[in-house]
Amino acid sequence: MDKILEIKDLHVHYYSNRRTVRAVNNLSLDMQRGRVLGLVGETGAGKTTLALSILNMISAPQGKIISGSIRFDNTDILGMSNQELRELRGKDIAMIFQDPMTALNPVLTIGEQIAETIFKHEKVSKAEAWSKAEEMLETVGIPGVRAREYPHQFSGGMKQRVVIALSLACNPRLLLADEPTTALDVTIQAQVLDLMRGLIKTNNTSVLFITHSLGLVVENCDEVATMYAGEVVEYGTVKQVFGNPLHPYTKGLLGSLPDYSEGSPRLRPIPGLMPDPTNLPKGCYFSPRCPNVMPQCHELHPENSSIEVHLVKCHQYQENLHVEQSI
Amino acid sequence: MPALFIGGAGMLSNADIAFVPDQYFRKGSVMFRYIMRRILMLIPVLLGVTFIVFSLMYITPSDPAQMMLGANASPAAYKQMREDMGLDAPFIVQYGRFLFGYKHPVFGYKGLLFGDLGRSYVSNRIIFELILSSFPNTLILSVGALILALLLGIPIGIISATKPYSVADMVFTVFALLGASMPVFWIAMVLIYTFANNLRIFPAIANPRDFLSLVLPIITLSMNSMAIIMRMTRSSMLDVMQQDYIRTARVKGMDEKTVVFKHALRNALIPVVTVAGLQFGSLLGGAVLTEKIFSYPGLGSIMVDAIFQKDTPQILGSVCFVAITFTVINLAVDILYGFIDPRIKSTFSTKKKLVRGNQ
Repeated sequence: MDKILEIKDLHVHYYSNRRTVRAVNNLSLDMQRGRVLGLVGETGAGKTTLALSILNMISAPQGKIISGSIRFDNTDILGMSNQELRELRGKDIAMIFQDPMTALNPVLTIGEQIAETIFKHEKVSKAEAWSKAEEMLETVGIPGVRAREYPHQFSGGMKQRVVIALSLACNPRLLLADEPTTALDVTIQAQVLDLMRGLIKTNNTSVLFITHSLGLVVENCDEVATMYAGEVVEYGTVKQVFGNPLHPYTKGLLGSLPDYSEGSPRLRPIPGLMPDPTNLPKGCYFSPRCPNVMPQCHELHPENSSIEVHLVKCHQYQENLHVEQSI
Repeated sequence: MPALFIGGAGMLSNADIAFVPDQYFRKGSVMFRYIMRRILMLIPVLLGVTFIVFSLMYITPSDPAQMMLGANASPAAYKQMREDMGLDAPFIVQYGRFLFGYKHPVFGYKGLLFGDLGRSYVSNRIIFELILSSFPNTLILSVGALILALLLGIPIGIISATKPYSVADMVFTVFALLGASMPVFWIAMVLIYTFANNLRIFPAIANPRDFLSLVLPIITLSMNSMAIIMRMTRSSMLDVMQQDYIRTARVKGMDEKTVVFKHALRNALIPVVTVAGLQFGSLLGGAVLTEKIFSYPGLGSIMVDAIFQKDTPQILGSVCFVAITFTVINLAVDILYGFIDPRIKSTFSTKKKLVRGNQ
């Protein structure tokens, strides 16, 4: 299949007080064109860091991409000049942030903020950019005349729609949606997601959908990757991963979902906390919390095992890939 | 689901619409009403200011009647003088006369509201004439100092903020610390000693009609404000550069210049404008020392002389004048806010939204 994004052996570190925070560790991930990849994981698993790395926007000097490669449509993003990166950002790869309340500049009209992106990336006059900005707003269900208003004049849900209009204004090939609905209440969440789904389908945009809501992944994604302590521990289609979760962490995440049917057992949350990213355990990062921990888990870091396209990083599956059938 | 129109030719021909905000000063517009409201709010403020100034003068132990007559006056003449000057009336009556006028062949005046407080007890010149003739001189000095402070303070603050903890930032920080901690009179002495006495580039005595002679007093006066504006710009810029909308601007592919000057600076300037307004007020007042040292004929010199000579009406007139100027400047700053920060404008808007989007 056609790959739009290939991440190989990515390491991203942050430095603070002479300590090194290993935010992303040896992460490899591929994205297929026109598909929606869900990225799930706890707070601090490195999801946002990964998204910012794809834009090569890890802020120096605190953060640094140590090694690895990120290829977007067969061009190496990490080797690009600042000029090339600026042309890439907003045009080919766009990003939606978690909190719409703070993502828009309070002193500029929303029309200005959208039009400036269009003006920057497309060969149009300012007036054309402005009318395109108005069209974008209409597309997300906001009257074009409101383009002259400021962010504080909109509600939270509308602001997130403005942000969506902004990010899709130049018809990007890849959209990084970093928890786009976390800050919104459930009804507005549904509206925003409906809208996003429609726009993505019309434009054949590939999406990296970052969330910690498993429900949203099932509803919106084609593939899913589970992230833990800066690495992808399981990857597969939504059907594979949710129908037959392999990694104990994914199983734990699914076990933490409430089941409302009669006589269902109590929730089984994963005990413990994510390891300190400045001091990761030697073997498998999940070993201190793993219910099926084996002796080698504390010593050796597991490699990927795969069953067709279903990838998992766990010693349980290292020797016999078919063990999972009996579990 | 509506389709996207991206890539299609512009179907709306709104060629006149550039990236400009709407007109601010249309009658009945939000901005116009905001300004009118602020001007109305000025009235009680000014009344309060004059009341405080008058009360302070009233309780200070100076006796104008005694001053007029000298130490050897007879008690009867003293009593007559107090009556003539209206000093025997109760406090509130005196305050009323101060505002609305006092009728007397020698000591009468039309009152503060009509811009007349009579004549100085010492020089016998008309008080407001003296103030108005010297105020422009002070204004030249203060405006010059403020412009210098802004012209250097803001760019240096931006440089410091975009490269925090760099060598340049450290140098500017030390400079700002020195500027903020050096007393005005000391800066003036050093400047006079170096540039007037030793190098003989600038004169030591300032005169409003000679630009060269204004250089030293303007530098002296602006040092403090410059340091404060510089530090304010730096910290405000540093704060704004951390905001999510700056990250949004970068994600959109904006270049660093646009990010700093269009997205960050306008947000960062909001607190700087406040500080600059307050600084301007204190520059008007702070000019007292500078004017004295450079023997400059400004309002500050007049105020100091009036205080030394216990010239009550001259003190009252000058202090009220400075207080009113200060208040008006603060109003101007508040109006300026509305242009920089649209959120403040809408706080004062009473009209409801025009069109709502579908929810």
